[in-house]
Amino acid sequence: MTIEALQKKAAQIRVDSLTAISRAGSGHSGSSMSCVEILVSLYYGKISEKYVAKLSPRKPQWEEQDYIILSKGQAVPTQYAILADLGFFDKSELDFLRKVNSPLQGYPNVKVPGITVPITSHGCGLSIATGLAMALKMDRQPNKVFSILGDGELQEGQVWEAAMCAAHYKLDNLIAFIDNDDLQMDGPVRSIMDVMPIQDKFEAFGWKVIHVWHGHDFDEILDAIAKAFTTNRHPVCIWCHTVKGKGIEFAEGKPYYHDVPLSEAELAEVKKKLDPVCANNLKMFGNE
Amino acid sequence: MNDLIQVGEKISMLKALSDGLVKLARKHRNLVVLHADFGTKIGLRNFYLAFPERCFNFGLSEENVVAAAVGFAARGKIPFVIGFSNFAGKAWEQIRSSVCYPNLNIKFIATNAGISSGEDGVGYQPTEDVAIMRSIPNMKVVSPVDYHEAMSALEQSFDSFGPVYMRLSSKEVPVVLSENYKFEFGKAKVLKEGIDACVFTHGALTSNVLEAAMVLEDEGKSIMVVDVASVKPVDVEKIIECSKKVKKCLVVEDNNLNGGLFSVVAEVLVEKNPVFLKGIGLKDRFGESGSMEDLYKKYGFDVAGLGKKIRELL
Repeated sequence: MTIEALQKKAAQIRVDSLTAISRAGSGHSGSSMSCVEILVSLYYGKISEKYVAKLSPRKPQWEEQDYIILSKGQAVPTQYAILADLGFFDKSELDFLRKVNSPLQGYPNVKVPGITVPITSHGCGLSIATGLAMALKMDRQPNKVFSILGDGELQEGQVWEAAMCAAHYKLDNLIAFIDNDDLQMDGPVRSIMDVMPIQDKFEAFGWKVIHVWHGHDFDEILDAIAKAFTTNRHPVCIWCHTVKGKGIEFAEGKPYYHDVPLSEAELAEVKKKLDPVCANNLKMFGNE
Repeated sequence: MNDLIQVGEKISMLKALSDGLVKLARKHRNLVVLHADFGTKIGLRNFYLAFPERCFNFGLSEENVVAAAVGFAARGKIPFVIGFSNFAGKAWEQIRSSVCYPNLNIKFIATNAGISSGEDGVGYQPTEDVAIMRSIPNMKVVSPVDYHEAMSALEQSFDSFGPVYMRLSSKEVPVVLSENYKFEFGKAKVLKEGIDACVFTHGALTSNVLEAAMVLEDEGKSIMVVDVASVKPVDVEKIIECSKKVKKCLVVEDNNLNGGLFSVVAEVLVEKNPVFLKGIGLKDRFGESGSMEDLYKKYGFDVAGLGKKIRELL
């Protein structure tokens, strides 16, 4: 996919996930927007003509697949929208997000095709990714493990237990993205419990850190992933500066929108702006 | 008397862990052991020597080791997560949400169960683990009474899909079951018949309960002793059947009575056969440092103490 096509896809995923959150009547609109480009790069992006992540909607339990673990699980509407778009399940399921009897739970649920591990609360995703990467190394398999963490999540002690472990076991098949939008539920991360300096911390734990200044720029993200692929004997942290609520003009950088759905009027405004650039016609089916 | 049953030689349950894991790992290539610096010196030495590539030390990071097991399970491994029982509390949220909610095939083995772990004191004497583990849906809870039951329960845990929490004493415990004994989830076993009272028990304390029952037998009091190692799922039918054969029921456990086997038996009986029921265990309190023998003496878990308490309640 070209960069332009990726941008269109991102616009479409934004509309799909915001619509699902609004219909659910609850959910994390702002949080789901900050990681759209990271997830779209992983699911649709290509490096040297090869898809970044090896996946197949026809084989959700495929042995050869790579793993995309959304540790900041509150942003799962974005991942669900992508999985539906890729054909892992029918798009109409998105209407039942967070509703009774729907597999589309508020946090990533393994009953949803394409979700490979359960994420139920903050801080566990990197540990799970670490375990997966260790199991793959143990079997000498080349699959990669990608994990996306929020910046507020770095306040969890478990993240650093996992960071220590991943470096100790030299997991160069593990790439962790930090979605650094600098906002959490109660306000700026730096005023609530500062997690900086992210780079120094991960480097001190034995990780290689790649800095992405514009976490909504596909060129920068894909470049960083390409660099990460060439790293040996160290896990890689891709530290992305992002914007909470990115793509929703009136919500960008506002903590209020961290965990609320858009109203109908707000959603209509977003759709009006994003619909013309959407990529609904760019359907694609995995990349086995 | 049943087919067993004599209080025999003392064998550490950690030996069962060691022997059982090696035996299982020889048969099953997908078995891996993840532990939080549990110590290859003790229960894991033999496993580590035989299968170093399948034994991972995560250091003192209980939350991480439990969640990492989820990653191993996603690749078809069957992880045995091993640690001191306090990890049950430290990583409870991870066990609940990341393992039990998706019903993953991960086994937890916790040693130093109850106050029997002794000298390290309260921090390493989990006496609430039965309560917090049995409260999680999908989780099975097993507390073997001796080496043979621990061996068999280990095999059954491997064969039974889903999360299992097994609680082992770290001390040498007299053998009370025969070598051929087969543990089954959801089955309780009558170790000794009796007509005056029925004692439901689990874990390392069982040999003391049996000895106390034999002392009381000499005094003309007939006490039934039932091994309820499978705390969850519990053998509802057997509990009702036994309770109907006797005048009074008791529960003895090296655990807080709140939420422990006492609560399990009470939940069953209050609904199906309300009878006299008393608990002998820790009544909403903590332990302290001391040798197992001294602690059992102080808290009334030794043979004499149990005999006295049972006698009082009859």
